[in-house]
Amino acid sequence: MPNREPAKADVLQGTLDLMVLQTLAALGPLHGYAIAARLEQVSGGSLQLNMGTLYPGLMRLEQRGLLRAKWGVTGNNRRARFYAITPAGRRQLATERSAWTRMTSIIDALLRDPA
Amino acid sequence: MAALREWLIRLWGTVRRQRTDEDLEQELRFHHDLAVEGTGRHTASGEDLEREAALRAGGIAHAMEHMRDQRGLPWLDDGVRDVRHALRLLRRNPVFAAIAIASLAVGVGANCAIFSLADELFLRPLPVRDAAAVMTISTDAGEDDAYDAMSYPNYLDLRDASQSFEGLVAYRISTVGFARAAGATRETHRGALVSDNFFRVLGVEPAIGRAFAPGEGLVPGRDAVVVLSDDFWRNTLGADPSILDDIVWMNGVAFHVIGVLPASFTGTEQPLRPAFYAPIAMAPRLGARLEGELARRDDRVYSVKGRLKPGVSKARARAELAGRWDALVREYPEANRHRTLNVRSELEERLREDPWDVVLMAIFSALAAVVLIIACANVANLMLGRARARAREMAVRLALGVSRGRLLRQLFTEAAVLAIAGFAAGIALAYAGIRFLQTIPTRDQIVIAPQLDERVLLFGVLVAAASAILFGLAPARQGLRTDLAPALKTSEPGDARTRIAGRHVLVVGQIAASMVLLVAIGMLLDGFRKAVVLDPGFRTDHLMLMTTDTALVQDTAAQTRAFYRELAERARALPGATAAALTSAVPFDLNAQEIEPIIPEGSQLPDGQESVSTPAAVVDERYFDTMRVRVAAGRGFTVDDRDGSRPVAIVNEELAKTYWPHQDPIGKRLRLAEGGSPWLEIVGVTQTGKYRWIAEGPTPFLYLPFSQHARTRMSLLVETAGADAAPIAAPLRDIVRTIDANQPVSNVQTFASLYHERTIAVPLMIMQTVGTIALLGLTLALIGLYGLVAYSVARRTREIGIRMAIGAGKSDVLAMVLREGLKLSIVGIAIGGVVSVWVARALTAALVGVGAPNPATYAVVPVVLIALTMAATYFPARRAARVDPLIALRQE
Repeated sequence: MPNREPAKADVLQGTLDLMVLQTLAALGPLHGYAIAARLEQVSGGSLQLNMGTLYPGLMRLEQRGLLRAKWGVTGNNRRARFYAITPAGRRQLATERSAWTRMTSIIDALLRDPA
Repeated sequence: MAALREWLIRLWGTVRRQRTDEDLEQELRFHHDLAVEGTGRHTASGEDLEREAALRAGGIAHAMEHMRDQRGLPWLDDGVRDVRHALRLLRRNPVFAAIAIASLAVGVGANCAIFSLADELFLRPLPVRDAAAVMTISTDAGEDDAYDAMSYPNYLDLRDASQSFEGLVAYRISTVGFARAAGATRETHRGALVSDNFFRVLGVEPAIGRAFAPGEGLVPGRDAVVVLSDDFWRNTLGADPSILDDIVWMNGVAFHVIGVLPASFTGTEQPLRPAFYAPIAMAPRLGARLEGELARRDDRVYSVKGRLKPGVSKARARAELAGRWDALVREYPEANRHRTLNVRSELEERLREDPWDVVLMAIFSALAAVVLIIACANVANLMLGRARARAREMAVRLALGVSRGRLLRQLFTEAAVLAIAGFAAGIALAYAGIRFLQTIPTRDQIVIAPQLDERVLLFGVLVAAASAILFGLAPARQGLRTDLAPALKTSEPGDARTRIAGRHVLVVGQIAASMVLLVAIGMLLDGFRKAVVLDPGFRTDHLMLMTTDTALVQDTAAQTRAFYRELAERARALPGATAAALTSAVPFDLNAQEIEPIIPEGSQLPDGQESVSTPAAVVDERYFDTMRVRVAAGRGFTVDDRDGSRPVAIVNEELAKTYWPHQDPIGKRLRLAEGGSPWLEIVGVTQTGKYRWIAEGPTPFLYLPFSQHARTRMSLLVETAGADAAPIAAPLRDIVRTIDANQPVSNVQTFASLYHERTIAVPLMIMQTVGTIALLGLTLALIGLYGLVAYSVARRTREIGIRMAIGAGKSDVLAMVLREGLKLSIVGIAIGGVVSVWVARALTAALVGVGAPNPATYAVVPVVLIALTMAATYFPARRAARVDPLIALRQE
């Protein structure tokens, strides 16, 4: 195996939630693989989620009422479980997004400050 | 909020799967397939890429594990699985389950029932707000001085000086003639005379109406107000709501009913339930016991309790009050000297007040604890036996990487399941036991009613939990010690010798405990048998009893004398009556006892004591004849012992022997320590009888003539010609009514019934309780022995087969197994014998009258035990003797 895959194991729980919610809010209902593929694509391949991280995370969001899931059929006529964001999920996304922005700007300012 | 929702859903997910494992797997399989397909398997290195993609996506099994954990609550999942597993095991071994649960039920049940009684008698806190802060303040003449009450002026001085207490309250129990309406027949009821701040300091709010207003009940004789107890209001007054703000009559004085207390407030003198609460300041108007009683420093009749301020320790409060008390001793040495001030918690005070009951409860509790230990040994034994059978299972699981902690949890879950089942069954048994204990004979507002309440349930939970740890520990230790390699190789892992030795120790312990239990019950039975045939020193048949108190009708001293003279004369003249006598103290009636501090002339009293307290009775000149008390020397009282004639007294032989050993007591003198008494000359000596309790040791006793010592409360004893004294009750009541229609009578009963209650009924209950506990313990121990031998036979089937194959006969095998049981039982009996000598000594010291154990006890108990253990061993032994060598050898 080449170098250690970047960022794979280091996905913070809160960040994964934020990324999943954002993806579903932007693209509408998706199955798990599509979510993972989308995140890999957006990150330019640096974010590769294994199933053991992704699916328990999805289940947790579902249990918290932020996602809703149901079995459906893909374009290729295969059965897949589709996740959609709920209104509570959208509210949560808004909160977390602003929290994230605030946090990054703080960290940003901190890192820019030469002293 | 979302987190709570997640938790609830996961909790629910533990109980009911909302997604099945297949559902999870399908989703993961789909992901896996897409991941593999996405790599483009048609390229040259397709297979490598495919593998890499699969690796990147992670294993399905691994992801499944995480999802399962997320689906439910993993620890709860495990717990539920363990419980299911344990239940399955129990179902598979119904005999094991039944014996284990029944053993535990007996242990828990016996302990809960005994606890309910101890709780009722001692442990339950006072029914007041924040009871832990309420202390009892007393001034004691000595550590064993139970007559430690305080005078009202001393109480007031301490109350004013105290900084450590939120307040000090005083009260005493008083009997009054109570009538609902002015002319109605008066009935005697006991109530409390309490200080004005009583309800405020204790934090008791009436359920209806009000308590004393500030300042109310402070001025002597001013506020004739009364608060009724719920019990009295409901059961005697029929819960009549119109009584509030109405007038009731107590000793002929009109009292204004201002409130009714809640049912939860049962008073501060458990087990007595006072009927009413009136201000102490009203005591003089209710009938003065003494001239100016509220101002007398030597009238020590009030109990004092105080509520500590938050953060103040008992020791600090004591130090503070003791300082003030020392000043009071200096100021009023006549009344207060030789007394020290003590502050005690409620529990300390109760234990001190009633040492005999404490001893009894300690014995009960100890017996129940022994039964519990035997029960736990049984269950531990059963579980050890099973743990052996399961050692292989444990080893396999350990080898597969299950953590020892996880296995430990599983083993304790099994113990917990057993404990819960045992607890449930035990509570049912406890209920039966408590129903029995509720039949303790009580009367006159004394209520001893143990209940199966939340305190008992909580205690049961604790007992069950403790036993689960006790019996769960042994198999757990064994399960974890398991050496993997040998355990995996054979079905008989570990050093079997040490294993079985542990179980032998348990069974020997059980037999030893049974031995102790049987010796104890033997002693008590013996004591009971002796008690029944003991001579109390007076007649107990052909006697009718009736108590009156002239203070309740506010008679003067002269009126009192006239009343009792007329009462006795008329009673004697009744058809069917052959004699009648008066006494202030009735033998065996604990509500009518007197204690007099006396100073015997020329006798050296122990370490600096000025006086000694001795039980006493004020009697008339007919008492000794009527009660058939033998006057051993000198004379009885006569009509010539009058007020103004030479002061005389009569003592019993024990008192004479105690203070004037080897001397003729006739002509010796003694003085009452209080009230400026003159010297009394001893003119007669009676035989030593029993005064409070049939099994009591020889007790000094003093008789004083009624004509020289005024008493308002006297009991009339009428001897009847017929064996049944009961028919004379009605004419006796009529006599009292014709002499004074207002005079309430109480305690009307035949002396035989009082005597029966005290000598037969109460001891019989004690015997039944002790006997039941002991038998339960013995039965459990026998089950334990049976189980061990049966197990050992089953394990040695092969060995027995070999023995028989090489020529051992059935009787040899039978003897071999019986010998094994006999060995255990002899060792157990030997150990138990040694322990029971100690226990017997403790019992003899603790329970007066039980006496040293009859040597026969030590002869009979081992024989009985050996017979029983042989019987328990016989059945498995017979099974062993039936082993067919051919079948046995083919095993494994």
